[in-house]
Amino acid sequence: MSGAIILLAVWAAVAHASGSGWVQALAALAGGIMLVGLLSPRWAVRRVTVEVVGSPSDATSGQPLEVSIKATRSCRCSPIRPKGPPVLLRAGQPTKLTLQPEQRGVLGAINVRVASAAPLGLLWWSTRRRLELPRLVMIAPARGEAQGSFLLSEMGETGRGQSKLADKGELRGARPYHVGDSPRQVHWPSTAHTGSLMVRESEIHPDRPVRVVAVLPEDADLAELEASQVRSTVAALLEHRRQVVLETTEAGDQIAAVVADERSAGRRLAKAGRNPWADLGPPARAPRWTP
Amino acid sequence: MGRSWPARPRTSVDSVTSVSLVERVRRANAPPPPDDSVLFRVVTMISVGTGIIACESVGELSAPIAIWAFMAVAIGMVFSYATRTRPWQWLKLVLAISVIAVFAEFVAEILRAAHTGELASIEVPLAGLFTWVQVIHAFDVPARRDLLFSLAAAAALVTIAGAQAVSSSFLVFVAIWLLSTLVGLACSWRSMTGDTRPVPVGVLAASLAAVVAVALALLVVLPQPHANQSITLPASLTSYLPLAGSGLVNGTGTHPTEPAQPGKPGGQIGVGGYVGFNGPLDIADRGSLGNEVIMRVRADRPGYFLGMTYDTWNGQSWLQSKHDLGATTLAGGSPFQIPDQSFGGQQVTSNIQTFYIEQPLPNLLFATTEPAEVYFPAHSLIVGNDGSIRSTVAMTPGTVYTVISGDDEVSPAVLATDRTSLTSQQKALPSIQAALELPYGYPRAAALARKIVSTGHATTTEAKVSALEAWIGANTEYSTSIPPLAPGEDAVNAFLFGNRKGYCEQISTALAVMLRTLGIPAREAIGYVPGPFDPLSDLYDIQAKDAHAWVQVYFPSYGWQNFDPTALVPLAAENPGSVILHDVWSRVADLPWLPIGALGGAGVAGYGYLSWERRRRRRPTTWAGQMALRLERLGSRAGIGRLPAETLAEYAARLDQALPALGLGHAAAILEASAYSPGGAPRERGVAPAGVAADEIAAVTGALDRLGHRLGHRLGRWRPSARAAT
Repeated sequence: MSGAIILLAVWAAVAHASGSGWVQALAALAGGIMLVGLLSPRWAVRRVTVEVVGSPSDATSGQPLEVSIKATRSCRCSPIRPKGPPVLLRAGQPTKLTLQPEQRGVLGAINVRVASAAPLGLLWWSTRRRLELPRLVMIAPARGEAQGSFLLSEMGETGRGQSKLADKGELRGARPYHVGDSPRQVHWPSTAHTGSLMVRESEIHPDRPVRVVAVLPEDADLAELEASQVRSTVAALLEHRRQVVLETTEAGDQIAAVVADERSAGRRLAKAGRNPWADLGPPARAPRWTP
Repeated sequence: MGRSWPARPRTSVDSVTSVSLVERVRRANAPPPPDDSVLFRVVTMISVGTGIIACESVGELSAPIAIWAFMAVAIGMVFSYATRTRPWQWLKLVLAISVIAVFAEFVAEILRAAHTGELASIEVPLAGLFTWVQVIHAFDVPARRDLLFSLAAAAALVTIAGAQAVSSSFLVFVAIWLLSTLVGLACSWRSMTGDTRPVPVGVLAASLAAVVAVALALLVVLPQPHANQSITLPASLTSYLPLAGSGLVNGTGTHPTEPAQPGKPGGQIGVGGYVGFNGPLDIADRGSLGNEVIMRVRADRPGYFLGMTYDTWNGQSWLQSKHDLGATTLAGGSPFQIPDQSFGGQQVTSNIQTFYIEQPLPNLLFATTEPAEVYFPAHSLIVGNDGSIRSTVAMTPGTVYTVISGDDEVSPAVLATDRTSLTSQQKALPSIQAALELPYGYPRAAALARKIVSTGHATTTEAKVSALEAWIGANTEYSTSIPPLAPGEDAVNAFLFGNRKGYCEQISTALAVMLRTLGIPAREAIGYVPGPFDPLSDLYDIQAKDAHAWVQVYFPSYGWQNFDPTALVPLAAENPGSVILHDVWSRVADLPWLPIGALGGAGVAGYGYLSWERRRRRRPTTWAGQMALRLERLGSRAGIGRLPAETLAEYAARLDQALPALGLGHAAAILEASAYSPGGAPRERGVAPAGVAADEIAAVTGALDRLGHRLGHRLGRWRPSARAAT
């Protein structure tokens, strides 16, 4: 814009010095074109209305999320939060906008930068808008490293079978110490009671539901990591046909419920803990010109 | 346990936000997406073409080059559109070399002109440069940004043309350029967004209105441009037509090609009908001056542009002085230094005036007081003893010359203090002697002049002139509608002692004669006053009606000084109705009646055709409809009109009641059955359709005939065919 103003000033100076009123008139018309071209997009971008007309209900962190948006006037729409590549919108024509959510959570709106250079295409003016989604999008965490490998290694293909004695699992009772038992297994109360060294005896019950507790820290990055691990663990358990009870904290309430599939787990984890998409700022901000 | 982010697939976001420098360079040089908008290309071509033709109109390009360039641009645009998806890469190289060659030629031209001192203006080489660049560039405009470059270059072309434009007709080019540029930019925006719909007219109109409003505001705010004429002093000829003779003003012309024709008495011939600028200036003639612009003047200060003076008065005409034959010929070429004839007046800053000739003019170079230097592209000039400057070549339209005048007008206050008398040496000067001569004594005028001077207690020359001017202003009226002078009647006596109405020639002549009766040298000066100022061209448009006559009075200490008594004379109180009628009639008469007649005739013919077509279409096409219409007409003649909500059967029933035994009800039933039956459409106009029996047709026509006979009317001019379709 500053370049255009300098150009016009030089033009006007030349026109004035040349004494040709026509040059001055042409300079004035060029100035009018510049002024209208440079300032009218501000008005145009304020008048343009953009809305999200379609969105999925589920997404995954780190995976593209496509929503359908529509504008009343031709404009350019650049997703800010979640990020994504800009798209050009034609007036009244629904267009796919690809978002790239990098965090799990519940997405109720998105932040975009709406830009227009109408009607002469000389300068872009843009404004930041918050677009409400027609439905909440549950962004599940991406899959991470599965936990509880000991548990999984004991399961067969089906994950079903008899209860098996194991070093870990539920406490079944106590037995006399044999050579080779781990000293950590010594059950001191029964040892004291019987007067001989006793060790704990545990067993695994494959048919019982596995309780997975998701404790997500306040730190967003750590919470994301934790959630991704929980999701992978739950997914692995589900793949082994284990019944999983997922315990999460949603909106301050402890919720423990069986998850039927991975999508349900993802939704639960999306709602767990602090929602990173909760604060997306004001609905709109004043337009500013974009070089 | 180590913590790490899970791996995510690479997405388009990453490709946008983190690209290498090489990738950025590659993208910057990648060919842009082709633009498919035909309208964008068309308006760009119009914009460029407007710039080229505008340059041609102001003489910066020759007509053949302009036409050739325009056609080349059009061909280039079509070629670019055809090859937009796969531009010819080798052609880019050729075009780049061509542009470099054109630019080199431009630089060489500038250097040559600067070396030979012929570089008066940069506009002409610039116009050539931009035109050639446009032609070359037109063959490689596949994308939007290329078309935008063409639009910008077109703006430059129009501006270059505007720098030389001196006519209001340049507005046409400006308007076309503005409109095409706005549409082009709007197309650019559409192309940017991929919108293929046409540009909305409302948005365009609003943008146009806003642009014009802003431009007008800027024009109001910006200071009025004023040429720095000390940089270049324009002077040019469109053709070099040497004039035979000594360079005197000659009304008959000395050569068939000589366009220097002064006005002829009694008609709009020559210089807008003005009878001056000729050998004699006949005060008895009643010329009619037109509104056409005869020349335009750019001047530091407006003033009286003197053409020539007359000092010999014979009672009806002013004549060129015989002593003028001893005029000085200036040779050596432009610029010509005019001999100093000033008397040391209060010289102010010099007044640079550039004259742009629009109509063939006599070989006079106009200038304000005390011309000192003349830029005129001729080999010689002739300076008369009266200070008038005459060309030795014809002053054809398009001629441009510049005069630098001293403008050493002496203020009235200074002149009022001049009490010096003519010296014997001054009285012996032929010019002074001629300025004192009278054909006879003018006793009444002399008595009147003495009375006015004595009444006003005027003792100095300036006071006497002022007193006479004041008397003329108070006792005469300005009017161009004055009766013709009777044969042998003295023009001054007729004016002063007749109806005391006249225009500048009568008024100034009366002052000059009265001054001469008082022994004060005076002569008649003719020239032009500045016409309306055109702020767009920074020029005064001098029209034929701006021809003027005034008086030059000789002051012993200050030489010839201008006095305009007409300025003090009020307009004659003529009948407002006749003035308005005359004004309206002159305006009506000036209208271009041939094209108006053609347009009007075409309009009447078109209206007639449309009316005939409308009537033809409203006429029923079916047999039943035509018969029903006839029934309605006959019924109306019987005083029973069909009501709007009435069916044909109901209407016929009403007719039957009033006019029984005609079978109208039966006829109406046949017509309704025919109209609404599947085979109701006629095979040809006026022929009953298939499905209507011959007896039914006969019943209908018989009923209508009987009704017509009953009413005393015969069947109309048109009678439907009763042929039944078989």
